[in-house]
Amino acid sequence: MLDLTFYKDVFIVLILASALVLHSGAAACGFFVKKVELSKILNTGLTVLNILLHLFLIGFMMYRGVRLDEAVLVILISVFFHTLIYFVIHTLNEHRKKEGGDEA
Amino acid sequence: MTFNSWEFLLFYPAVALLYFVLPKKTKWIMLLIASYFFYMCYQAELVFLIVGTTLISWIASIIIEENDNKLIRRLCLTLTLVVCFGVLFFYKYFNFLSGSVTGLIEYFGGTPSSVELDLILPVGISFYTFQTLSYVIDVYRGDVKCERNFFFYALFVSFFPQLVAGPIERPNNLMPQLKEAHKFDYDNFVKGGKHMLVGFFKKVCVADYIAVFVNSVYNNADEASALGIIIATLLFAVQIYCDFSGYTDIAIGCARIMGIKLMKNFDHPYTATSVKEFWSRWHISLSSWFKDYLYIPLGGNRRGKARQIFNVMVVFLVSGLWHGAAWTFVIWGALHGVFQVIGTLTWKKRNALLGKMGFSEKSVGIVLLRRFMTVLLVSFAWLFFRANSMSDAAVLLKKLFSTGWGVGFTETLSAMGLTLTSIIMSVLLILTLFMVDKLLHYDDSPDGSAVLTRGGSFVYFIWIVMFVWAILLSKSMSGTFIYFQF
Repeated sequence: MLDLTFYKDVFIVLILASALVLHSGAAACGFFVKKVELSKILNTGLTVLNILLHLFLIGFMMYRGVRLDEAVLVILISVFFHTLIYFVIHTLNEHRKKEGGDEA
Repeated sequence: MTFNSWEFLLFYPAVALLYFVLPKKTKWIMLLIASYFFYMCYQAELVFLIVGTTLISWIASIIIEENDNKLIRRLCLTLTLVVCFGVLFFYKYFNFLSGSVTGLIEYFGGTPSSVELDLILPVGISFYTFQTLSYVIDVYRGDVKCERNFFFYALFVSFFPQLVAGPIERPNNLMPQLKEAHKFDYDNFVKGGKHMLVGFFKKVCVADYIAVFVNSVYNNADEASALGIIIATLLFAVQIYCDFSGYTDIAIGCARIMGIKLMKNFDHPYTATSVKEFWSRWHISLSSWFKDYLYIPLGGNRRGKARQIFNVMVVFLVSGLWHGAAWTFVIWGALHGVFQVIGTLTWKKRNALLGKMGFSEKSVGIVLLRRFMTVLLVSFAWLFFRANSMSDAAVLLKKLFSTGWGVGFTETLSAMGLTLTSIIMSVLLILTLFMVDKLLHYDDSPDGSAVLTRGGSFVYFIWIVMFVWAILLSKSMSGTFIYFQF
């Protein structure tokens, strides 16, 4: 029943993991870096790198001949984890704002 | 030209661009032309219906406002209701009624001659009819001032983002906004864009993907197993939410980019702790319409319990019929009415029982249990909503309540076409959907555009990629929205 093969390709997994690290960094910039300008520069830089990495990932999957449904799944896994990271940090931020409000 | 078509992806940017470029006085005229063009792309031959409904309700509203004579005002209102509902009835319910009467006569041994007309259901007729009627009733009640410019009123009725599947807007909210000449605003652009992307994600990636597995069960009712019916019905609950709320998100996003805020139509309906609460979160514009123009005029809950039960049942039966001209929809509506009546009648007793058992009604466990029960009840009702016919619904019900699952879990999944890849994809899509909905809610909150909004830009970029890939996978964007048939 297990008809997936992409996860056996270590490069695809590595690219995916790197993209998630970059995204975590980009999202965390807004959360931890206090200086707004620096945060913006870091965020933009990491995001651009991430986009390039994803374009490379798509190209790489085409080069390796990954099946279309598997390639969609790879992108979906990326979407899921990117959204999850953004969701967790955004939720933390909402809580921080609420706590700040309560203290005030 | 549906929202998920290539034509719309060309049409909308052109309209938005023109809206910002054109001088103040001509913006709304362009919107009116664009809205009629949008409608005529569906059914050019039935455009006279929307023009006729608009003209009649406009004339009626002027007569109502200008006359102090109660009788004339009431007569005008009644005539408008009769004409508008008459048109709706003729196009949507004539064949249903004729078929039902024929069936009834046949049941009692008669041999009736079938009267079935070759009618095309006008797209969005239920939506724009309700919108025009809310305007006329509001004018009658004195809640809204009559619009003297016919063409401007025509724009209110036909405003393209919400014309064919809602939200059913109220004159107090939409008309003043249409009169304003909005300038390009970056914040509106970002928020509107996010709504549109989320809508596309819900429709193209989730709803259309899940539909294949749902259809495999519901379109072969005779071969379905009990387990298959349960899985397909739960998936349909997700599908219809993504399909309809996806359309609404795209509509809200389209309007928001142009600076117009449409009303909220969904508010996490599957987190409701009762069927009553579900209806305050699902299709809010329709629920509030029924509340304001049917439930309260019928007496609401002011005339005793028996009358309240009657009123609730009337509202839900009508709501069922509004959704479609078939007995499956009537039963779906009746089920919701019964759930709500039982829920309301037992609410205090259930809470008292919980108190005696030492549980707080607000404890996490009880809230989760209530949510679970609500999802079960609502999903059970979806079975009738999705069934292709009453006979199919009967077959599905019989199989659902028969002893045993019929076939094993693995066999059921493979019969539905669910491979491991598709199961993983479905789970990931549903989990992503949950987060996406929550994130949109954050963005809608007053201080939601703070620190991290720009960090999310990448997430939206990824969604675009996902969207493109989903199109590649499905080869075309042909899935129409379920609510278009209403």
